[in-house]
Amino acid sequence: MVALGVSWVGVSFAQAQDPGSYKPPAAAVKVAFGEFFQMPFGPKGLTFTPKAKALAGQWVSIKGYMVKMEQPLTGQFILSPRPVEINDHADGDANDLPANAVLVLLDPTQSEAWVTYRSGLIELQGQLELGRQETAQAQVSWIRIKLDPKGIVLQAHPTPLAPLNPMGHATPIDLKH
Amino acid sequence: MKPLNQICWSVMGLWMSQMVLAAPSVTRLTPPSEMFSSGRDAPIIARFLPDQRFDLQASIRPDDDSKTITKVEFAINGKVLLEPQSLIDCAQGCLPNVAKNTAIASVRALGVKKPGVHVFTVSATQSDGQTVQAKGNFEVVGLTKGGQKIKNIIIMLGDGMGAAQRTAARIVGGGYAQGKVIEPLAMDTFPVTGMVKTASLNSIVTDSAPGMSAYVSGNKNNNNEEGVFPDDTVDPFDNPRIEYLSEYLHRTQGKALGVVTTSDVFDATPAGNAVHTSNRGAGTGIVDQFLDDRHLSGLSVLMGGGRKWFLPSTEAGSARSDKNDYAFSSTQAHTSLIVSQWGAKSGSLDKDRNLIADFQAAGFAYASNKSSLDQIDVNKTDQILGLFAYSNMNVALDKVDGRRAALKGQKGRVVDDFGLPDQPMLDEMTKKAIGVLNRKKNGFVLMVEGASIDKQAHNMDTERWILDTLEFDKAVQVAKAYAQSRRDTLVIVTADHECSGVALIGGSMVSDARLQELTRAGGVENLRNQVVGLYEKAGFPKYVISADGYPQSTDIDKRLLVGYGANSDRFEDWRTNELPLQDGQQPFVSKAPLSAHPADPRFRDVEGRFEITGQVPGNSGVHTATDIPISAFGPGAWAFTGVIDNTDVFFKLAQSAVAGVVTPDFGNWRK
Repeated sequence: MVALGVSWVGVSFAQAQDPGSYKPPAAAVKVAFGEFFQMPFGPKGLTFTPKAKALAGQWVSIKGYMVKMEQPLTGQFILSPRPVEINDHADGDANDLPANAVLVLLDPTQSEAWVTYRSGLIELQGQLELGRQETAQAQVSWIRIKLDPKGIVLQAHPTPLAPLNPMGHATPIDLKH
Repeated sequence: MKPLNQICWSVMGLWMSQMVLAAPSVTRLTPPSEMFSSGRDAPIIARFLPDQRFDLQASIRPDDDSKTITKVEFAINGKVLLEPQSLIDCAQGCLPNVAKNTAIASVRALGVKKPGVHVFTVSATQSDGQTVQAKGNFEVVGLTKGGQKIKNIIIMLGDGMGAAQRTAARIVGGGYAQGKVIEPLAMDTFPVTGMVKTASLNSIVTDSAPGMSAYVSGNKNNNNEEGVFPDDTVDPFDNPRIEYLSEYLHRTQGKALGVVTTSDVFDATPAGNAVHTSNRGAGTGIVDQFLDDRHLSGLSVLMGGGRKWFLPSTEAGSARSDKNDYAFSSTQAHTSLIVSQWGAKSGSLDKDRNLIADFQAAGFAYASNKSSLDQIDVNKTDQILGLFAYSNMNVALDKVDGRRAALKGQKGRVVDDFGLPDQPMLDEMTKKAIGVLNRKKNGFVLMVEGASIDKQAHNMDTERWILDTLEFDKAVQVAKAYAQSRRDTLVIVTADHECSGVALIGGSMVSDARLQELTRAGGVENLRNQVVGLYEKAGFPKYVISADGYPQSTDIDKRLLVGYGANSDRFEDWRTNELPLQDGQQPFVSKAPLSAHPADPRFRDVEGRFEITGQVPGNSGVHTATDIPISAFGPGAWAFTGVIDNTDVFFKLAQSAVAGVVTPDFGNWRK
């Protein structure tokens, strides 16, 4: 299937298109953003917690917010404990990200895809990877979650979640302001 | 004409045209000038103080691939320069569109003392003996013998802060009664106001890099570049430099430099006071040079966010990379002359450097939060490094929310989730910086930036940039109080540019409770037509200010309404962007897979029901070309009237500090 000039050869598709039927490969351990580094942060660098170190390489589940970017990157997005919008084009690396933001990576077979941005809290499962990694563009990350390729529903066109209630959320929710 | 003659003339014409084409050409001449670009004498583009240092540079392209440039000579006013010169080719390290045998010749750290317009020339010889010449001009701005010399300069810079941003902060923070302001902003009380033209070297719409460096170098720079003119090489640190105000006053008078910001300290506004680079994003090299070249800039106080650049790459949280670090070759004259002629350090690719430890070893007291900052005794401290966040600090709204919650014994606020519950406010940082700089016997230059006025205007997050403007104004009050106690300190409040075309369109006609109902109903007919009160329906929005000096709430009944003239597509519901859900609530999408699609710029998220189509593509508001107001207080303030260029500000500051305060020319009104 070819869409918009992008070749999908070699890209794996979700076996079930129904979101409710997705099952992660292994039982995922819940982890919260506050559990990666000792909190509050000390005066200098960050220290991985014993729980984080024990979970490295394991399958984890985490709740957070997709970071909204000016120029989203393919094959990845950033997950944050709080809703954050960054002006990556205007301000580059001088950003509003917390130091414990997580770089979420799609499987290399899906590296040409943009993940559809959605606001609000989401929950992900993936394989946790800790430690320093630097990209060709000199972007350094310390916490990564690698998503299961079967966990991504690939679409030819971007479509909003449907149906939406008047508040714009996928399901009704009791918001406390 | 006989046919044979015609053929002869044609052949002659062809031969002569080839001769005209076959010659080397000067493709770039620095400092930039209209004389070089268009042949016109005016306007003068590059201006310098007497003896302010700058670099000369020329790029010369041979007429074909087989030739090289063998000799280059610079002259000023006909007098050949005998200073050391470097000559390199572009076999490596030049921009993609530059021919590989292009030659780049540079003379570093020149100073010209004589006031007036100077013509400079470059003469180059090609390997076949052909020569080429080009000329440009620059002006040395003479100083007038004046009165009192000011000792200290404080530049208060509200990033992106145009007139509308100032007015909005006054409405929210000061309040109005029957048309009169109840409590003016500190910046409103400055007696002198001018308008500043903010264009950069290459656009009517600038960014923060040339937006800052124009004020402190007297020269226009390209967007994304600070303290340098553009060149043809890829290295972001080898560009032709222009001496900064801090460097000039440190060299000639022994003044010290303070840089205080709420952004990551490597960002363009703080860096554009002390570091020279054509890439405002080259974080590792920028922060290294803050320390390495402090003997040039006089840097004594550096405060803000950006701790990630100061940690060795072996420590979690570090963002240091050799890919954006600096290292000048000691054998290649093109960069070794930067070291020998400017006195700059050569640097090295050292991502494992412990920069905090190096600052401490150099005598800087280090503070990582408000508590440790409070502990610094300004009477016993000569230098401070404060790094209060890993990148930008949290905005005022979130810092204030964190403090209010902490007073009630609550946690789980934004600052707690960021792991940084104790970040100082900008006025607290400013007070501490002044406390240390006050003891410098030759005075100081201090730049204080309210950085997220701009960043939150990009996000079109009205409440967050308004509160950041109020925070910035409290820092302005600290600077003003200091100047009032001294009588030798000039304070200016200015901006690098305006952001997002902020428009104060009116006031809400409804209470906040009603606004929430209308938000649930959704749509233009509810959220715009029933809410936006224009003209007399706007009235006077009344915000209650708490004891901490900030609004009790930004979600008041009959709130101020702000539109954006330089906006991207967005959804508006007028309410403060929600403080997000606490942990433990059910997520919207539980355990479902995400969707992905081919990279497609047509995608938009759907968030609300009052969609506003933007004038600009993308997700963010953008800078505008609009003039911004400048306010001045203290001796020398009167210079800052009229509609002035941002580069004029530099010469006005220097006049007062170097030659003394002069009464400005108020124009030919007597005739």
